[in-house]
Amino acid sequence: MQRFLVRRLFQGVIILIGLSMLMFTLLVFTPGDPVELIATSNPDVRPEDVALLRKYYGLDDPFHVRYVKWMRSVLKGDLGYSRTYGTPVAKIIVERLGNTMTLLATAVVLAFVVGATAGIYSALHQYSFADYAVTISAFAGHSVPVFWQGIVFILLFAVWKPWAVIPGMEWLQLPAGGMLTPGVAPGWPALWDRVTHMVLPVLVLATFNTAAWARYMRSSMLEVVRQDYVRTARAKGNSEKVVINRHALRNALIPIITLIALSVPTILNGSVLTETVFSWPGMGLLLFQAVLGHDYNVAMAVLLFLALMTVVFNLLADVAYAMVDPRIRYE
Amino acid sequence: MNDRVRPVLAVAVLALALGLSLPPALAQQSRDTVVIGMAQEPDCLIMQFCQMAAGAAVANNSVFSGMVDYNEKWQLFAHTVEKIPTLKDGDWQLLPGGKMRVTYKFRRNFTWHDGKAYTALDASWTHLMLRNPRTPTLSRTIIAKIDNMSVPNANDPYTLVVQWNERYPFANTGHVTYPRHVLERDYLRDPGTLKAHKQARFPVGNGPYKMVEWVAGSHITLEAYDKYPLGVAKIKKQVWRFILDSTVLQANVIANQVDATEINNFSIEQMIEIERRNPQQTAHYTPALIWEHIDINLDNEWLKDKRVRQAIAHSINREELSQKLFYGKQPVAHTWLPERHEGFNATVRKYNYDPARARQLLTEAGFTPGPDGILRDAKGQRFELVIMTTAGNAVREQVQQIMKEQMRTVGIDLRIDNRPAGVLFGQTTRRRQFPHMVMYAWLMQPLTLPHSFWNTDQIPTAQNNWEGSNYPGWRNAENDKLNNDILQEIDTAKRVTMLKKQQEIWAEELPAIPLYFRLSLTTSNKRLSNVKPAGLAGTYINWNSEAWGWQQ
Repeated sequence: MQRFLVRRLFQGVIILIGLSMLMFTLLVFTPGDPVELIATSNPDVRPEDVALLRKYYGLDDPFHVRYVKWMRSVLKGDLGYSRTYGTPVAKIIVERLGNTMTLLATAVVLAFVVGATAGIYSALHQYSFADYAVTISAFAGHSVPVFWQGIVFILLFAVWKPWAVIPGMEWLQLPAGGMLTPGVAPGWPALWDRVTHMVLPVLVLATFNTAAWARYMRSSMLEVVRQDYVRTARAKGNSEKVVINRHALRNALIPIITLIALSVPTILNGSVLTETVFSWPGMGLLLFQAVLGHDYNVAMAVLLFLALMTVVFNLLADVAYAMVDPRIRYE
Repeated sequence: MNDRVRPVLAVAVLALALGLSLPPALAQQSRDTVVIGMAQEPDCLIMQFCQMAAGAAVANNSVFSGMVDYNEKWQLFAHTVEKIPTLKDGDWQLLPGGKMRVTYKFRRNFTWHDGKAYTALDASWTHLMLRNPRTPTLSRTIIAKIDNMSVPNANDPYTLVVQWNERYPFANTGHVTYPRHVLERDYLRDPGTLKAHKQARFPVGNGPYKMVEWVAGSHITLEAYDKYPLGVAKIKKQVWRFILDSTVLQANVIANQVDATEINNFSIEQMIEIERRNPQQTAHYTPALIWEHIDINLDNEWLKDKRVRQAIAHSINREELSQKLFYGKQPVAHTWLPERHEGFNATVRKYNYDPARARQLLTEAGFTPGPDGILRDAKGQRFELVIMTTAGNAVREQVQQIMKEQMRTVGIDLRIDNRPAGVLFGQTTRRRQFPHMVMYAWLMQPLTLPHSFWNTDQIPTAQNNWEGSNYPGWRNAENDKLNNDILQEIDTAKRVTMLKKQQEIWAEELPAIPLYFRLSLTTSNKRLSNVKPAGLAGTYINWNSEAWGWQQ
């Protein structure tokens, strides 16, 4: 296991270096140099101003020199300055990371609870109306684009509010984006305000994985309940509750645990769209703004973070698999 | 359902239903707060270092008050100075050798938000700081025209004298001023770090509102400055919310979750939808200085001939475009200056939709019909033109489709080849990499003059390091002379006469096809009084926000 871990860590570092080179190349060679854009949008910017700005932002060096300089400072723990915000990138990332993690954690928990419950229920009531309902809902949840779903949710819960036709229900609505209502009193009102702002983005972020995990859970459970040891457990006279909870469920959850670890980077990547639609000030929105604004240092830091998360959670998935399933051994 | 679970679920549902009641919070804030939504987040609030209009909206009009500013009628008014200098009053003097001297008297009751006095010393220091090559100033075009700014009398820190090296017709429109006492120490240490200075994100201003917080990615909160000498703002708090997607911003307006919008990226359809869905909101369609047009590459063999350019103009039904796509709200352009600009010329040559005339002009230019209905030039080459614009801009792409159909009827095959905005503006236009035509808009100001757009020396080339904005590559000696004279002419009447003449030549030569003048689209809650959008870049909906109030 130790050898496996060392090998995977080494591979992870190589992958990260390769990805950083690829991402840096793509960003730098994306047409529309930030200083050129400034000059084009403002006819008063003179060529000598452009030259000074290029030097100021370090854009006058050749590509490879810029990459080496960037990598050297990253290795020293310095992610550089944001060209857009004029502040250290690390400071911006720290500000936004907490917001993204709050969304991410809530969405993962929600997706797991709802997805696993629906999958188990569906498996235990195969070919019932509920099973068909879960299956159809799962396909729908899997197919709906995040961006579209976000806008429809905003329209439904903040604009259309179909329940408003019921007398006395006009007041019920959700915020149409943002993370908080400015000026809300601190303490419980602020906490509750934050919770109401989280409802829609969490729902959107969780939908895809709820659907996916419900399907996986269903098939995993169906496979396990047909195993000999489950039949044996029943033959021993155990109650159905004990058979399902103690024998079937534990084994059915093994692939799901791996799946969750593998899905976290996907959810993190999905946050780019969700946070943009809901104006949620997290890492996803930051990446979107950084790419649009050609803020290379910020974009590189966020992309590198996403790559790091993918590598780490892939490794975690392997480790978790070995830990929960004693039959797995890595050499 | 389990008996233990049921009461827990009931409590959760009840709590959720009660908790989702947002309106009490919103209603509470609406008494003393105005929420303005924007589809952009500022990069910083020192506009000489930053490029995003969102920063200018917050900084120019709420946090800072300029020496001289524009009102909604595009008239200049003295803001932090006692009066606007004029030639007649003698505080704007023309000196020998084309030099000038302009004297401003600062109002004595303005202070910075930290209580320190706002004086002419701040203005003269700001000028020195911005002209330093080590300071990351975006543009020094105006700065380069100035020899120095001084406060000649040590006992009178409220008099500023600006010595100009050359004539400039808008020399009395004021200068940017920042608090010397806040910035000077760090400036002396390293001017290069000023963009990262606290002042850039949390400025000490002199305007009606002061900074309270900037939650990155979410909002900026401002609070009324209680010592603002022109009257403390009636609404205590101003919140700028950043909602990058215009559809989501629109939903927020309809749901009354924002009270006003600026830099909202709304289309006219979205504005109409807002008015239809929420009668509490007013949609403001303000004539602006945004000129939508098609630049023509005059180096192209076909397009060098002005008859061909005129034929293209005759082949596009711009009136129909305006009616069908913009409900007639965006007026058709016949020249490059809009009606509200002082130099607008209504009598220039107009190119109404006339396919027969277009065909006649093309025949005169040597084109003959081909077997497929598309014209052929004298060498037998098919008359196919490429038009580029910003990919993903639905309105421009619709205009292209309509143009394609209309131009085909006169025998021109239009091929659409769009680019992302970053590519189009970063390379295609700037380096003149469009083979035939490119569609985009110029955002102008009342101070905009033709020189940078239409002078021969403003054609970007590799030799001049792609300087200038004359992307069509128009060369015309008479136009050049007028442009240079306009640039130096102080007398408004003479300048306007020359601007009108320049437009006559322009409309005859047609280096670009004028399409229409875009409107500045903003919204505000009907209960919000005194909202008077100006429709000018730099003068945003909040230019008079200290006078806004909530009607009961």
